[in-house]
Amino acid sequence: MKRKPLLIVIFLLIAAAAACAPQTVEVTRVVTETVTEEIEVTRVVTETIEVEGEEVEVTRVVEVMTEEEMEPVTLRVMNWSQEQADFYEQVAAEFQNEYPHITVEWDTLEQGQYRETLPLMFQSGDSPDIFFWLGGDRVLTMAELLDQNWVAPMDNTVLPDDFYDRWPEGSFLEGINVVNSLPYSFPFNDNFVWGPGYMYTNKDVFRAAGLDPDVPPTTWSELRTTCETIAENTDAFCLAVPLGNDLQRTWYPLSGMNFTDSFFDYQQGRFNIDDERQLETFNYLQGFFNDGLVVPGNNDKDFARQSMANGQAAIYFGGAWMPSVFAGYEVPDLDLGVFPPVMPDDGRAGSLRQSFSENKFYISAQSTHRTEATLFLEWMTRPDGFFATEYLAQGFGTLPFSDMGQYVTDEGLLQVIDVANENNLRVAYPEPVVACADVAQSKAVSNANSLTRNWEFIAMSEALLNGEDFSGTAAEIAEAKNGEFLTTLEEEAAAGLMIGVECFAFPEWEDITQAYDSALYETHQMPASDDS
Amino acid sequence: MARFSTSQTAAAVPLNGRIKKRRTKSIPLIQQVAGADRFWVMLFLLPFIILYTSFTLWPLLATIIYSFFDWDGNGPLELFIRLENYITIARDPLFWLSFRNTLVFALINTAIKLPLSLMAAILLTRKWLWGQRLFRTVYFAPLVIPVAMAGLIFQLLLHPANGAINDLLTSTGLVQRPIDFLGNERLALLSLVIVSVWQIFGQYMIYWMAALQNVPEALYEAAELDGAGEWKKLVHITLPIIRPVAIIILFLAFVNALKVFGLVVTMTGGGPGFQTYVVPYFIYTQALVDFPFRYGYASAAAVLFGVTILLAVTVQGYFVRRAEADRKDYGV
Repeated sequence: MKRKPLLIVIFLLIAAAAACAPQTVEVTRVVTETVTEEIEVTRVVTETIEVEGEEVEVTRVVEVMTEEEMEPVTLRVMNWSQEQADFYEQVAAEFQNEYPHITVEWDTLEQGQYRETLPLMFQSGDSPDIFFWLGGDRVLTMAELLDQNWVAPMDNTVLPDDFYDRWPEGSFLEGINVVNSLPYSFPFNDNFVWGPGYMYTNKDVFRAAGLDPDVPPTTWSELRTTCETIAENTDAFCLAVPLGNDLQRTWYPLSGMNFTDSFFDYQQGRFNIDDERQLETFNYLQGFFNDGLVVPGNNDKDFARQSMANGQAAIYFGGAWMPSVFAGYEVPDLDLGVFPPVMPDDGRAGSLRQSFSENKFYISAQSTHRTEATLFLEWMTRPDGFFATEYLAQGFGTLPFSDMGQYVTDEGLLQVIDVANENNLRVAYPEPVVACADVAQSKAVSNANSLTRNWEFIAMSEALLNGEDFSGTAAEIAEAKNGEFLTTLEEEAAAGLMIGVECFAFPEWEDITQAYDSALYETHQMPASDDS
Repeated sequence: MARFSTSQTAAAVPLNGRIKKRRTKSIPLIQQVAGADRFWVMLFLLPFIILYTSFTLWPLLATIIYSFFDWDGNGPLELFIRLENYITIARDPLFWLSFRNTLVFALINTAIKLPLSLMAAILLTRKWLWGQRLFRTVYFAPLVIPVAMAGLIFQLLLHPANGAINDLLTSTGLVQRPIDFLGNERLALLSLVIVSVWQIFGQYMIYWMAALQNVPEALYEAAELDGAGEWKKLVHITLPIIRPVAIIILFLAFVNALKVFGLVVTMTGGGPGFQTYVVPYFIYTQALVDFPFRYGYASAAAVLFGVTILLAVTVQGYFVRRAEADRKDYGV
């Protein structure tokens, strides 16, 4: 207890010593200079969110950081267009010129490899910040990705006010690329030119066969005669047809002009591989296989494309992207013809589906750089920016957010655009999710397709290779898929979803060669609710 | 000084003219070791235990757990569906087609590669054969080629339009039209078998050679004195003596063949149609190829397939024990 006064004395002595110690006085000379610079330190953001079914407008202030304040970030982007790899390196460099703190690493893989690798990356928590994806049903791709917990919304706060104006009206739709007013993706390619359905020819093979390379076959009979002439007069095969799931590249243009390029009949609301028009298309194609007019073998798309490019075959059916793919094959002498697909002899009776969704780039839910990823996607979709102008100039594809007429110079892609415009190959099909919002939650179609993936294409490939009758297998597939489809619909309706086969059947769409427009949606009969 | 305690050993006691084996209670190794030795034993076992638990036990257990969930491989396991995956698989014709193809592949593969490799091993262990090392190297060489590369090479060689094998067959007049080895539903699986045999042949030849070296030379010398020829020596000496090892090799060959995967991926992709789908390829497509992924479903298929392999191994154990008992009759 006696120590306490002593400690107080010591403390007072130390305090006094500190107070008497010499001090350094800092003298600051103030130079006044007026610098006028507008620095955005905050931004007011208004967005609409859905709360308990009602749309509520929310305004908030977000802080805007200067370039120096931002941490260096590396964004990883992945897609499957390997032939465009050099372009993506340029894109990354150009983007970094504008955003020095963001480094973009863009990896491209072969499509099949990509589809296998990306899921593994997600499973290991190592997914790229921005990824490219196309689901089996394009309209429901976002719903599937949300279900898989793969995607995050774009950061609205860094998007300019005119962002949505870059696309044609109606490009952003709730449930398809928007959820609760937050954008998850955007239409990357246009949906009129872009897609499958073109007939590519090697004009040299036509010349060697004594055929006029600029007068292509236009009907089923003409294609058959052309092929017989090529077989007689050259060593080449007529058609290069990839098999397995890749058979779709040949199937879509043929079946699309005869009935539909979908294995689902949107008029009747059922899986349709057993439909007589589908079987008619199959039998027509099988005739070429049986008579040795097709490059033999269980070939994939790469082999089939190469066969056409190097003159082993005369014709390959493929998508709008083929000019850039052929350019990557380094066959400089390839004289490429681009033509519409052949029609049935008694005229066109169907159309290709104009996809309601060309949403392809998404931000990963695992990304910790959502804002930077959004900045990149915003930069990428500037109508007159580096990405759009160069992508179009190099003929990689079509873009709905830029002026294709101004920037496309590639001869092959220009031909593709001409063919699309002159032939009106694609029309809008009815979209079940537009008719019934609960379709976005339904597993009816995906459960039926999950019975055996790509069942129609794989079964058709087997029958084509072995010269077998396909009608029995087709009936078996249709029965199994329709059974699963209807069972799931019943279970979902019983569980409370506002859903029924009416959401998928559009009998008022009488002419498949014509678009299913908004007027037809108004006449569409919806499923009856339990309350009614 | 090691302080191992004495352990009881089995003893054979003649009883009324029969041999009766007296069963003795085996003492766990860890109890046979005391003090500091026990620490060292544990320490040396630790790396194996860690690796075995991490890369064998845990994946096995996880696969069984996943098989009871509707899970896509991403996110937490939430949707417990009891036996639904197993019930669905039982009704999935593609799984059973894959199962049948796998068994057919394994049976034909084993039936071809074992006799061939045994013959090669017998030949290569003959003292009079010139160039044994060269032949061994030639036969063993395909084994060092990665499966994927072998598959791609044979895909090209067998192609009906550009393949060297079809060129040879047509140019020599053996066939009129090229054969679509991988596109024909009857030939595709057989083509896979032959390529697989070509690749793995050398490995089994080495196994057989190791087994043949266990046959005492004295038996052959005695047989020769009795006037036995090569065939009789093979049938009455070589084969009976190597029988236990042969059974192990047989089941090893069969179980390894059940795991065929790489060749299917690179050569046929399961086609034409589904004709070369095998269970490992089925599991792979369900879990990692067909979107949305069905990890739980694929796990259930893997468990069912694993049970099949387990049964094969159990049967193997039974036959090995029997063969070992028989071999003792020969005194070796």
